[in-house]
Amino acid sequence: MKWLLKKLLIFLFTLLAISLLAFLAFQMIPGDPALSLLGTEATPERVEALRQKMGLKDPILLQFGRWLFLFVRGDMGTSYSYQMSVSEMLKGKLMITLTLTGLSFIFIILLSIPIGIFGIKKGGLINKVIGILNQITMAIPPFFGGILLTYLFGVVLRVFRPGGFVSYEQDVAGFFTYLLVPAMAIALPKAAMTIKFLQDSILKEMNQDYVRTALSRGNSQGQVLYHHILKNAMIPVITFLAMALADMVAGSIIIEQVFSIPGIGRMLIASISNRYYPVLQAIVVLMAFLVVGLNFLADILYQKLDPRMGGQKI
Amino acid sequence: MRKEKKRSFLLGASILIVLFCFVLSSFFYMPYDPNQMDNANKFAGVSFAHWMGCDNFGRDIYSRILQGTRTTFLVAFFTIIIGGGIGTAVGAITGYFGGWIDEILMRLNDAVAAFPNFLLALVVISLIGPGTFNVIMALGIVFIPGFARIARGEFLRCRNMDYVKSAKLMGAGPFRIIIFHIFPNTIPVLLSAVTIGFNNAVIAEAGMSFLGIGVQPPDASLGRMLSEAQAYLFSTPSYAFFPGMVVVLLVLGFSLLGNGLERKA
Repeated sequence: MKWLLKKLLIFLFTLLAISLLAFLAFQMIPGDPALSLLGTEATPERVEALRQKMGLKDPILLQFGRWLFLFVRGDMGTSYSYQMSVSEMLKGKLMITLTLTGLSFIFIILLSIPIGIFGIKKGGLINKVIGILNQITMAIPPFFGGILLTYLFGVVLRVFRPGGFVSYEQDVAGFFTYLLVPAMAIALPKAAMTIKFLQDSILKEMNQDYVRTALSRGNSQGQVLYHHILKNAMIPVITFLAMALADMVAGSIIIEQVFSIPGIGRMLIASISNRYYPVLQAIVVLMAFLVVGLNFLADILYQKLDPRMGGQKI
Repeated sequence: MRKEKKRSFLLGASILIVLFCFVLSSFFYMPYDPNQMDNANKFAGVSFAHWMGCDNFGRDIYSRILQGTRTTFLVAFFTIIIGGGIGTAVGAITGYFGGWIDEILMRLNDAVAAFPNFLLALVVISLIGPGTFNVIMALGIVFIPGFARIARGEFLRCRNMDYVKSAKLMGAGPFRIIIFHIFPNTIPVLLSAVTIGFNNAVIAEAGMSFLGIGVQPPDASLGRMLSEAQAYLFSTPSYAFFPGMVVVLLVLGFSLLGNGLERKA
């Protein structure tokens, strides 16, 4: 249990460091929130009073502590431009982005593991073709993949209407169906990477002594593949998938733009273009927490799954 | 396995050389001014005069792709110069000397490396603002940790080798050893890191320009063209197809090249 505690401490420390860095980075930006809130015509006394009230004159670490305390409690500040609480603005959007990421993750697993294993079992020419297709799929960046899929499903097959996003409250089925195509656009290149990673992992295991032993004891090829090799080969793949999940959170930023999905990513881009710093800060820290959290889970999973890592000892 | 690597290298190199020749030729002969608007030719199809057609302003798509590819090469090149240069220097020093600086920098590195590159670049862009130069800065900074980690590993591996020991016995100073003795031995590994870096830089630049925070209009860039073309996908699919294919070829070329250069296994 000690290693888990140690990992947890490192994890919490990383979160703290990241939020401190993000906080300081946004402090460096020139500009005075009090001044921009009151407008340039405000008297210096009023600006000074508001600065006092907003706590802008406190030591920087105190400001950080206050901000972090509120952030963890779900109060992410107020957008000066919208005059609206940031957490209010982000609540619904986070749900959309997470659904999109989740759907793409399901796609990746459904595509990559069967195809990867199928290719290995058939071998030869079939696996070569899979390899070539894989290489090409990996080279298609998600935003172009999204455009190609829009063309395929929208123009050729006529089953998808781009820009036809409906919110979850309006139409649950429509919400999920619309997200299927964007999810596929995120999933395809990642699935290709997973296939390659899985096959490399299986091929590496195939040369191990235990495989030869298992075969010489009269097990069939299939038995050895499913009962012996895959158990070992899947361990690095699971870690890879968890890392891919973190990467997909970032990948959804672009895809949301391609398919005009009103999620966190679009909000992020709008906030960058319009300099809505409180919103920006909240989104960056939120995404950072998500990514670090997923990496933490991947780490734990890896230790748990592979007894050779000696999870107890670390 | 060796033969496959060679084939991958050759294929990647030829794709890139062909693309590079097109870009080079554009310095001597550009069919049209890439920003020249022409109302009569709005959405002109593929023809001998405009052999990839024209966009929504009647601008020649082929000329714009040439200019955009130039920008992409430029951004990728300087990104690697900044990220690869600083990263390798940091990795070399920490890897060779070790000690507590190494420990701190690598902990910091781990924290940053856990982050998707693209998200990190967006954070930097949000701080310094959009634009071509800022994209180079943002991506350059973001690429430093990756290179530092690879360079550190290599220098750590080499620092106790016999040739380093004998160079020390002959009185060579640490910086002489780092630059003239160890560095040449790390080049094969660094080179494959550079191709992967190019690959990531091309995707990131196109992505940021697609989002409208990279190369600013009216300058052509592949990502921007794609985002503009998206609105006309149903009427003029070729507008999206050509710039997209160039991005795919660039990425494919660099990744094949990288596969061929990779030394392990």
